[in-house]
Amino acid sequence: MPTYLYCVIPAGCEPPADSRRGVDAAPVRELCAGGLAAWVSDVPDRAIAPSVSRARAHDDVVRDAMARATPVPARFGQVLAGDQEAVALLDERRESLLESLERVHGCVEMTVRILLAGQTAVPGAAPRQSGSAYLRWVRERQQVRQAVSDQAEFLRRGVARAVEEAGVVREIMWATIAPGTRTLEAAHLVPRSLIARHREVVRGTVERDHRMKVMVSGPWAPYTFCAAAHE
Amino acid sequence: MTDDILELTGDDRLVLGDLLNHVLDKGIVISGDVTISVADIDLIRVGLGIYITAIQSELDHAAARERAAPDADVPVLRHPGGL
Repeated sequence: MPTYLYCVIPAGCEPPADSRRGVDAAPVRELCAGGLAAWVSDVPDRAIAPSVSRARAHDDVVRDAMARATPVPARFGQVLAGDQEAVALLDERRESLLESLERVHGCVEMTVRILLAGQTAVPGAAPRQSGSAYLRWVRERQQVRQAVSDQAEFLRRGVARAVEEAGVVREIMWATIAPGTRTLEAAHLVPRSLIARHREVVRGTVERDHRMKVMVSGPWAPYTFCAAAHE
Repeated sequence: MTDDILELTGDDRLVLGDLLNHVLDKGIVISGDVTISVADIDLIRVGLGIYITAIQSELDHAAARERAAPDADVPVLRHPGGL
């Protein structure tokens, strides 16, 4: 029967409770190999369609593992041929999985979103009535894009400096700003004991120093930081 | 550890969008054969779409509230199943 993977944690941690259920209410169990434990469950088919309830079930299992140790979470939909393949992959990827576990040890992921101020929307469709109007439109579009880029870079530096000086972050990964949006997003890898302090520093920096709005969500398992190491 | 984080009550869209963003689009891939179908991409897009729409809407509301009461807090999200 195919095996669905939720996360990997160091071997020796308390295994999932007998009552723990995962995707489609299947019992969750662990497979151990080479000092690693994979939390898995059976699924009837290797093709599994995403749904909100399945995504919630996946994350609930990962959060349960977080109560024992910081896990390396798997992406939704990782279905292996069976337990044998899962154990073989644990062995094969052991070194990089151990590196990821060490990287995120004792931390959670916090998502930081900053709403950029001012005009961030590129002007509408290009005018067709004249060449000069078109050139003005191009210039305005470039100015808006440059302003967004400058503002985002200024904020990136300010926030990074503040959280690093306060010692409340281990790593930061910034997302690219999607064209036409005004949200600057980053994932922060934060020691578990510093979640509240991290939020205070971020809010203080963005709201008081930069006079912009910020929202922080989390704590999450370190999905973003583990993804980058295995792609 | 999160007792003092304000919950954004009554807006599950925000938590849902971030949940989908993390679970469907991030995390390790060890087998190399996770297939993202068109349906998956649509779900991610829907999740992110409602998230961004909701967050900008909430921030606009927060700005309006702050103008009315400058000392009011800006909400911070917390997953209902937080650590």
